[in-house]
Amino acid sequence: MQQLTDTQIITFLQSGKESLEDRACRSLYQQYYGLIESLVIKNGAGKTVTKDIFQEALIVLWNMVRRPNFKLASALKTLLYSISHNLLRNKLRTKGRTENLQAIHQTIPIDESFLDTLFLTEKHNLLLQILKTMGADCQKVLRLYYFQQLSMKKIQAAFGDKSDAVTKNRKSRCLQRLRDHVLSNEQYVANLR
Amino acid sequence: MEPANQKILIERYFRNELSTEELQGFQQQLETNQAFAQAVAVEQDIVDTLRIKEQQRFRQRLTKIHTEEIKETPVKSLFNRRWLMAASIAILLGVSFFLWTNNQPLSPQEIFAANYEQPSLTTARTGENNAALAPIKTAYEQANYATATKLINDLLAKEYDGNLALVLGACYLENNQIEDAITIFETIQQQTDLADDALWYLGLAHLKKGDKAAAKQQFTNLLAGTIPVTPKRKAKVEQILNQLE
Repeated sequence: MQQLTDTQIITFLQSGKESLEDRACRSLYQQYYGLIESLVIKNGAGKTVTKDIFQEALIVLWNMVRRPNFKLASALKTLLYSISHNLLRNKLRTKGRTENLQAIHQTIPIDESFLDTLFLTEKHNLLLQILKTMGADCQKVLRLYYFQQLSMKKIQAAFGDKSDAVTKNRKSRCLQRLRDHVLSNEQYVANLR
Repeated sequence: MEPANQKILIERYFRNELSTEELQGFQQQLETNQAFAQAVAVEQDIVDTLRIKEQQRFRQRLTKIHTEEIKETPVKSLFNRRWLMAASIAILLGVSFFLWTNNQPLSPQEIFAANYEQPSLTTARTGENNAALAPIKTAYEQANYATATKLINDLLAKEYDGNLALVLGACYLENNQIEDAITIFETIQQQTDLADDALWYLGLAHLKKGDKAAAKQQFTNLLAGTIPVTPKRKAKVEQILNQLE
């Protein structure tokens, strides 16, 4: 099968459509998993670490490309390799290895804040529990509104609502309920102060 | 700012919908209005949580893709008992075959093949017959042994030369005229300065013929001490005699 180009992969990852995102990820697996595996193994880690590093790198990439004004400033291979390189370095540091990694490809600087998106804090765990208490429709409308940032027209179509006023009301009700749940949680509020 | 407007402003901020001017006003509010800053912090946590939830779903999809794209050979199936038994038998058979083949005595023909090297025509006579040697050299180097044999015989009929006779013997060997080769090497053997080479090729000719006893006899004669033999050839002859035991 012909591999996707860098531009196609970025476009698919930005699409918000699971089928296209999955196609992009498969292409990334086919093109670059071997490279990252070589990096990991060359630096003394195993196949399980390769899987974790590669998947975390894809998550970081996925978060990156969704940012407004994202521009690919290098080859996608170099960006993915650089993310993986930083992730592996951080992982090995937690195990006490502080020496520089043996590189097998050029790297570019990566904003470390993107790597932080992988870590779950206690606060996030608490909010995930609160989010679970919301109904499936509420979770969906919030995902489409905030995560996918779809227009009200598209959200209306996704729910089959008769008017955008109905959709706006649905979104406002769900969002306010979530805010209320969050702000009524003593543990959360205690950490907020 | 009205609470309703404040909520809308915050939502638009997290949906990246604010203009540059609106963004400046937003930043100003954030620095000066504590209630506003707290509302933004809560909204940030909600947005982060929605992202983390999606991230978890994304990772689940990646795990499925990983399983499908990375065909890691399962350890269990590779090393199950049947496979191990089959592998053990294969290894045993392989090792046995290796030991068996390495302990099998070489056939005379195999010993011949391992030791035979053509005598060089440059060791043949030089001088007035150089011109006559040229076509022989060409035929010999092109493995055209029938032509070489005829040309050498013609030349030897005019004037015998031991070195050229040695090449003739080699041509007979190459043409599988082993008896002719043996006859010519026995003749050369009478020539003291070539007895070493003659006995060597005589022994090899008998090996090619498959006559181990005759070969052994010739090689033993070579080491008898009556003929000068180079250390290199002596070592080779001793090795062949060991292989013939």
